[in-house]
Amino acid sequence: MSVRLENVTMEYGDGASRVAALAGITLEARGAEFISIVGPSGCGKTTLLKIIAGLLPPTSGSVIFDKPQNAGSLRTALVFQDHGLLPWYDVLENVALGLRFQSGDREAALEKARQFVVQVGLERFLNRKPRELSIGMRQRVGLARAFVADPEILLLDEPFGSLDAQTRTVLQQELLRIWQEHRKLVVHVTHDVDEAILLSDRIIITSGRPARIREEISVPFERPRDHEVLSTPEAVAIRRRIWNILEEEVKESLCLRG
Amino acid sequence: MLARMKAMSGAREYGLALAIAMTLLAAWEIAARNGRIDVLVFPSPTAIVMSFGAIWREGMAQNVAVTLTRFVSGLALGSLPGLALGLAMGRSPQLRRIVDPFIAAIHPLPKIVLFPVLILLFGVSEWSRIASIALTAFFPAVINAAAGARQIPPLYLEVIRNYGGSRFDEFRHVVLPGSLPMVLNGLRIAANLSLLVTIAIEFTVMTAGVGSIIWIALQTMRIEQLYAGIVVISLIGISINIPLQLLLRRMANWM
Repeated sequence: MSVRLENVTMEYGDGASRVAALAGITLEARGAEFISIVGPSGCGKTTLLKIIAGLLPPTSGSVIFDKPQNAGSLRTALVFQDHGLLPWYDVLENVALGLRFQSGDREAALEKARQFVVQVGLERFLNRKPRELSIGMRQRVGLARAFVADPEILLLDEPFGSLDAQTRTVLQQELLRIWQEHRKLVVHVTHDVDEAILLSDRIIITSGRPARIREEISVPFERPRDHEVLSTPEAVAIRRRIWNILEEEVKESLCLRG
Repeated sequence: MLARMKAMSGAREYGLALAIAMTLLAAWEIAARNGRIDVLVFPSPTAIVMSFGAIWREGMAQNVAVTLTRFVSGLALGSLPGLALGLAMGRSPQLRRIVDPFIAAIHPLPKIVLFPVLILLFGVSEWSRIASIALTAFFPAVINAAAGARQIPPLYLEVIRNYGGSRFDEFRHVVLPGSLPMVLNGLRIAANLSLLVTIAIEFTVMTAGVGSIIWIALQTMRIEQLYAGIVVISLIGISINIPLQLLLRRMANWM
């Protein structure tokens, strides 16, 4: 599977209130690689994922997939920043949601979802409603829903952005483990530099609004990985490189330069 | 443990309420028998209960059937289109902008004042009565359904599209369940107002129905029967409200 973005731009609003979110983004993602897009907050990264997911049409440019969509399969699934679980459905129904639209067979979808929920250790919460779960638990369910739908490309929109540091660390580990078992192309958006280094094969750094690609960095660490890699000299070097670019961008967006 | 203690203390308070009600009824009964209150205004509770036999023989069952048919037909004819229009308005800002002024103009009017107009339209028939009830039921249904559908975060619709769901899936998995608590609430308000209007109409056109029994009992000074009619209507009201409340509690347990 591969997806190519060609000169994608996005502008919101009309006339004087027109705001450019994306300015000519071109990038390619292929195979089962894990790509992270890192940039200053509010620079249009979510917009980029929604364009890949087909939820928003770009103002110009195109999103090209290398093969036509198979019937009964899902091309992309987006994991939303604030989980997007339906509050009136319990954990099992929420996880099964993506499967139901593909086959129409409710029982089969629920059974497959149940197996996956058990596999990720959430079986005690099968019949709980989202409001009864902690924020971290909700995001685990959100991830389970996306993985069980088995999309060709998984899109992650700062899935751990609203979590405390400890929960985030544990869930990053869990994401790595599940992804290792169900390898697929992932496009991940974050503003957490360490998270990008830990998870990715390739990191793409964007500018502030409107977002342009500033630089691309390969992350050389072997898989499977854990948080130890973040203490290696290579990781320190990558972190410093990313921070230098981001600092410039953030200062510019805050008008601190000059 | 804690839940059980709560349940027990709840039972104790309900028991107390029941005891207060029984005490008041007993006091009423004693006062009526001792001539402390005018039995022409407040006949004793036992006399009211005894009068059920008389009104039953005089065709109470048929009258209840007339009232219920009238009420349920009017409620269904008014609230179902109201719910459908309300849900559509909640999802379509254009439709809402078109319909809202009409609702704002007509809703504050007590719909019962249109009853004479409906008689001119449909004649002195069952249709004019049902139309009046339907008109009453329509507004709370449409307003609550629209509010319910409108407050659904767009994120949930995006989730459905994200997983390849259709417009129908958006309706079935998001719009309908998400607005259900407000829809049921609107239905409850519609039902209570419809019952009110049903009885009011039966007071004015004394053909048949529980309302007309009450009115006739007043004019013939059979006051026990008047109270028996009130009890019957209370029972109808309770039997509408309790199921709707239970349904609401069951369906809205995600909030």
